[in-house]
Formats: sequence, C-alpha cells, structure tokens
Amino acid sequence: MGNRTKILYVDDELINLQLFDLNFNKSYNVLMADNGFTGLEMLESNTNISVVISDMKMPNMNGLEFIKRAKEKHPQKRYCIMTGFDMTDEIREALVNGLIVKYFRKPYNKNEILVALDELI
Amino acid sequence: MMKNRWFRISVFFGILSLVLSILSIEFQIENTTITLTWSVIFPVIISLAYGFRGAIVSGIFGGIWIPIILWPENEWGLIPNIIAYGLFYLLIAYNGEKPSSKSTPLRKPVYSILIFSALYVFLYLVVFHWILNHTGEYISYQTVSVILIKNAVIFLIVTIFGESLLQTNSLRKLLQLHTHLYRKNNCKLIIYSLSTSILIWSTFVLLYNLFSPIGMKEDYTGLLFIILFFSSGIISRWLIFASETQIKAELGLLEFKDQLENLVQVRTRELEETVKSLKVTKASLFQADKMASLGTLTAGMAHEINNPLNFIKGASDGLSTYFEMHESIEKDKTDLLINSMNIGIDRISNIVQGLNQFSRNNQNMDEDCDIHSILENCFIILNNKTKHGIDIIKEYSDKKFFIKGNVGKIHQVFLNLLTNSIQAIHDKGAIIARTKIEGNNAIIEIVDTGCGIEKKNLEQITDPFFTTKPPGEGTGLGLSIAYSIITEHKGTIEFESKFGVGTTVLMKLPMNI
Repeated sequence: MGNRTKILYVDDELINLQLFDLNFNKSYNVLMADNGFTGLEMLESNTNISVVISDMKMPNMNGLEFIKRAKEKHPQKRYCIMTGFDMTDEIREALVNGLIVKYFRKPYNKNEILVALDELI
Repeated sequence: MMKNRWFRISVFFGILSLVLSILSIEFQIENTTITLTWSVIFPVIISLAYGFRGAIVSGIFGGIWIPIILWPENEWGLIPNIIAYGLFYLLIAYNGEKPSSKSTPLRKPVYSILIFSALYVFLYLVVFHWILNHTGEYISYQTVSVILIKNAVIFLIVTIFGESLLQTNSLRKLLQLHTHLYRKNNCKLIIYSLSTSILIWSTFVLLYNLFSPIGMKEDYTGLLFIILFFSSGIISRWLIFASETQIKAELGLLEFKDQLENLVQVRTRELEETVKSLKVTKASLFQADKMASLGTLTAGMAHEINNPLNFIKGASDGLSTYFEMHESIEKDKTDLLINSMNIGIDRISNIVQGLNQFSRNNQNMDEDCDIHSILENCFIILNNKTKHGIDIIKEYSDKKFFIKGNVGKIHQVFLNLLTNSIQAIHDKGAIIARTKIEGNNAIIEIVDTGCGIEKKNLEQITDPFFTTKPPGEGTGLGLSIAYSIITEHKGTIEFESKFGVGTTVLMKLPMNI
C-alpha cells in the first residue's frame, strides 16, 4: 500500500467518490473528501499526496476556490478539475495560468485519466 | 476675380459693339436713314444687367466712338455727335438702373427721352448752332426733330428689346451667373412678350392695309413702323413688369420647394438608416438574449445530466473491471450489456456536449474550428428531426481541416442552415453536406432537395426578421445570423435556389485569418 501514489479526489456526490475509488484504487492510493474543507484537511495530514482531482460545483467552496487555497499551501502538487460543465472561461483561465494542469469531462473516460495521471506522476 | 466680372463683360461688349458698328442695321423712314447700331444694343443690355457703371464703361469703350467710324467726313460735326452719343449713354445708364418697385416701369425711359430731347435741342440749336453754321452744315428744326425722333425710337426699341430679354432674367442671370432656377420662367415670359408684340403688330398692319386712304401708304409707312414698334414694346414691357413680381414670388416658391424637398429627402434617408440599424440592433439583441438564456439553460442542464451519467459510466467501468477479475459466467451477455451501456452513455454525452455549444458565450475568434466535427455535432443534435425521411449524405474532404474562428458561432451557422434544410423538406428528401479545400479556402456546401426559395424572396432572406414561415415557427433571424457570423469570419455565403427543386448554400471560409 505504502508504495502506491496517493491521489486525492474531492466531490460532493457520494456515488462519484465510491465509484472513483472502486475504479482507480487498483492503480493508486485514492483518498477522498466530500468538500473543499475536508480536502484541505486531508492535504495537511497526508503530505505525500501528489495529484488532486476536484469536482467543480460543490457547496460553500467550488473546485477552483479549493484548489486556489490548496495550491497556496502545497504549490508542488498537481491539481486537476473534473466536471460535468463544459469548458468555461474560468476553467480556461485556470489552465492558462497553471492553477490546474488538466481538465476532465464528466462522464469521465477512465483511460484518459489513467494516461494523464501517468504523465503527471 | 468675380468683382471685376461686370467690368470685363462691359468692356468686352463695348469693344464688340464698336467692331460690329460697321455692319449697322439701317432702315429708311421718309428721307432720314435710321441707323440701329450695335453700339446702342449692347450698352443698353449691359446697362440693364449691371446698371449705371456697366453702361458707362461699355459706352466709353465702344458706343461713344461710333460717329468717328460712321461719319468720318463730318469733321467738326463729329464733336456734337460724340457729345450727343455721350449724352445718350448717360441716359441709357440712368435708364438701366433698376427701377424701385413702386415706380412705374415706363417712367424712366420716358424721362430719359424727355431729358435727352431737351438737352439735344438745347445743344444743337443753341450751343452748336454757330459751329455748324460756320462749317456750312446748316441744321433746320426739321432735321433736329427727325434726329430726335430717330434717337427716341431707337432708344425705346432697344430698351424694350433689352428689357424683355433681361427682365425675364435670362441674360441678366447668364451675365451674373445664376441660371439654373430661372429657365422655366424665362421661356414663359419670352414667349409671352414676343407673342403680344407680334399680335399687336399684325393687328396694326391689318388695320392699316384695310382702312388707310389711298396715297397715305407710302408716305406714312415709316411713321407707322415707329408706332408699331413703340406700342408693342410698351405693352410687352408692361406685361413683363406685371409678371416680374409674380416671377419673383414663383422663384422664391420654387427655391423654397427645392429646399423643402431636399430636407425631406435628407430626413427620410436618416430615418431609413435609423430604422435599418434599429432592426439590426433589435435582431442582435434578441439573438443575444435568446442565446444567453439558452446558454444558461443548457449549461445547467448539461451539468445535471453529466453527473448521473458519470455514475453510470463509473458503474459500467467498475463492472467491466469486476468481470475481468472474476470471470463472467456468460461473458457474451455481460459484454453486450456493458457495451450497450457504454454506447448509450457516449451518445447522451455527445448530445449534451452539442447542447453545450450554446453556452459558449465567448467572443474568442482564434479557436481551431474542426469543420467536420462541428458538422457531425450538428447532425447529432438534429438527429431526431432527420431520422425519418431525410437522407443525410456526407461528402467530406479526405483530410480533416480547421479554420480559425469561434467554434460556437460556426456551430450555430451550420445548425441554422441545416434546420432550414430540414424544414424545407416536407416529406422525403436528402441533405448533402459537402466540404473541400480550394487553395486557401474551406468550401462548405449544404444542399437540400427541399421546397426551395422563391426568386422574389432570395434577396431578402438574410434580412433580419424576414421569414416566410408562419408566426411562431421562425423568427426570421437564422440566415441573418448565419450571414453575419460568416462575414465576421471573413468568409462569404451564397444562396442558390430553385423553387420546388431545392437550395444550395455555398460558404467560403479562409483557413488562416
């Protein structure tokens, strides 16, 4: 367990979290959080997380806000957005200025994510 | 330059009259030769056009020297002649000054003649008498009175002739350079005065021939001519004067009418432009509003669909992994089930993505637009409308190609055109989407076998709000938007249509803007 790469997935939908874990825990050590605040706490307690994937639309703190705050404390980690929204100006801007490195569309494509994560790690 | 115009014209006509004087018009009245010299005609006309100063200048440059040319043998007699001519021009000049509106038109010429006659009689019979006696050229009262009558007649004839020309403004305006407004009225007046003169003249001739006693005919022909000239001239002069006020009023009215018409035209044009731009603004506002709300709606809807779709996708992925690990008892069946799920998910996802094109409210013009995938996307969105009775034939170029522009907007163009094609096909038909590369241009053709566009409507189809569809079915904006988007992409769009046969839309888009 200890030698697998740790990734953090943040999504407010429980089913999404469970399915993501089910599908990716073979390849990665998947940590989960159901909102941005928990996500930030997880990052504090698990310093060896290398990639963070977050949903966009979440209550209280949206994906980009969460990532912005997370990146301030952990700038060396890679951050991605996975959302059911089409590419918005906000996301495009985040991609351009390097806040996030990848944008994944929902419904996700497992292969696309695996390939992308391989590249990132 | 313009200031000296009157001077140059006066000098020119003065000199011209001097040159032409050799060809003077002469006619015989009793024993005296009446000489109607050009030297009189031109200064009179000039005086009427330019007033006192013009007559003096043209008189000095021309008329006053006539006696020298005509009677070179006169010797001393020239001096009184020259003086008499000088006097004559002064009177012409006086006569030529514009009469004030209240004065009777004939007062001035009559005064002129009276003054001239008095001075002439005084000069000849009192001052020059002894000189003429001395040179042996005796002048009788009879001769003086004949000369006086002659000059008075010439003066009146020329004044009236000149006035009839000038009061009608033709020559005056020609000389003073405003002609365009007066043409119509000039013709009327010239015809007016000429016909009156001719009428009076012929009445006199007729009466004279019918009633004059035998023997009088030869003796008084000359006198009669004088009377005829005199009376016809006076009457036409009266008529002209009477109508001058009317002309002025009419001209004023004409000018006013012209101004008013111009003003109306300018205002109408302004109004038309305003209406046009308002229409376009309304159209774009309407469209922007529609697209904005549609965008918000589709974006929200897409998100809500994508999330549960993600559950299914995740579940399906999970299941396939499960079967890989635990061996399915009926692999064929489970594969089919999972595969069907995946196809369904892909199809829903594609439709949702297509809807998302509307939410792209960006104005970005440097996206790479993959024409084929945009067309495909449109066909997916329109799938439910095309699947019955409409064949979609895709004749794409072998190579994928991109143009620079706004993906959402190009999407909208194709969607609008294809929607029109679908609506044009009432029962069964075909839509052909054809693409090719020609030089630096992407050529996209959308051909349908629909009802076609009537020739009279073909010019208007890109006008905002022009539609032939019943109310509620078409906004009349589709093609107008398509046109403006294609123009925005520096491309062209052409419509060819045969009523009842079908329509071809040809778009040319530059590949690198």
